[in-house]
Amino acid sequence: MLRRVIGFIAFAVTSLSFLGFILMLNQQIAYTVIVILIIIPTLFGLFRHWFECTDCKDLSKRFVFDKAKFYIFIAAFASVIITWFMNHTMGLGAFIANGTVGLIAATLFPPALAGTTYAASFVGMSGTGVLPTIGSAVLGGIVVGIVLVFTAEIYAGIGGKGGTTAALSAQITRILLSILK
Amino acid sequence: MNPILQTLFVSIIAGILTYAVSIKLKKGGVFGSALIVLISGLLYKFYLLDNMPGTIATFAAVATTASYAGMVAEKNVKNIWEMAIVGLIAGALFLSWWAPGAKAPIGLFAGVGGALGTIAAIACFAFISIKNLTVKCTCSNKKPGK
Repeated sequence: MLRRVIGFIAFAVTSLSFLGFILMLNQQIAYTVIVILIIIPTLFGLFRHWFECTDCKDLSKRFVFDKAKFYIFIAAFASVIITWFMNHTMGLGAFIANGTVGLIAATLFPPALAGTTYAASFVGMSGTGVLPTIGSAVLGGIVVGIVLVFTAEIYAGIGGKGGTTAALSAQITRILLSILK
Repeated sequence: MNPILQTLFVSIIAGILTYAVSIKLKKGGVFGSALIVLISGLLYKFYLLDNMPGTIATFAAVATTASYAGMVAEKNVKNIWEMAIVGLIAGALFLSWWAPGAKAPIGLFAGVGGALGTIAAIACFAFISIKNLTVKCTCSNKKPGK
């Protein structure tokens, strides 16, 4: 239960802080109105999703770090490093790197593993301002692997789950890198 | 055409194409999204970059955003018309973050991998909530026996 509560709060904070930053930094009134109009239903959606995430019937399943979760962690870790390498070292750009990794994952892996591999790949799309070196991409891979393993139910079935996972992981990695400097 | 309308149009089309490949052709969300992202990335890098630099950067990014939203489950977005609305919401939110023609977006999330997916998730949440509220209102307005 605690794992899901923490996971949900972290995801919700990521989504809402994104909207908050747009509201704070945007100068144009039209866009401010659009963002406010989007925030209201988003809050309703998050409220409803809270009950789905903390559904009592589903809580009987205990969290176990099994072989499937180990594969998720390894695939996520490798996905970030490969995407970062294609994006920055090979100079292909974030979209080509992400699209290629996603297509390979969708072809080779079962759907669940392909989804987590594709989601982890989003972290590798980060600019050098966030992940400046391959070493930082390794740290990003570890962080997103842990986040994906522990938050399987959060945002499930919502398009963009992978992106929110990646944004959360990239921000955690950024904080860790600033502490380690 | 106005760059804002062009961006919204690209967003709607990319969302619909991803949804069609993923759900209608039964290829799965990852394949559908990755295909659209790769095509938009290739167009951006090798074909259109020199012609319309600023605008195409936003086009590739908004297509990617909408393609992430297109990975939504069929129980939440039931058909292509609903997906078009999700694409429109994602496009509008994207525009408030990254103005058309601008080289980079604004805020703490600039350069963060997953920022586009975060927009997609917010667009999906907003659509699902609006749809649920609308359905509830329609059902409560129906008189029994009719």
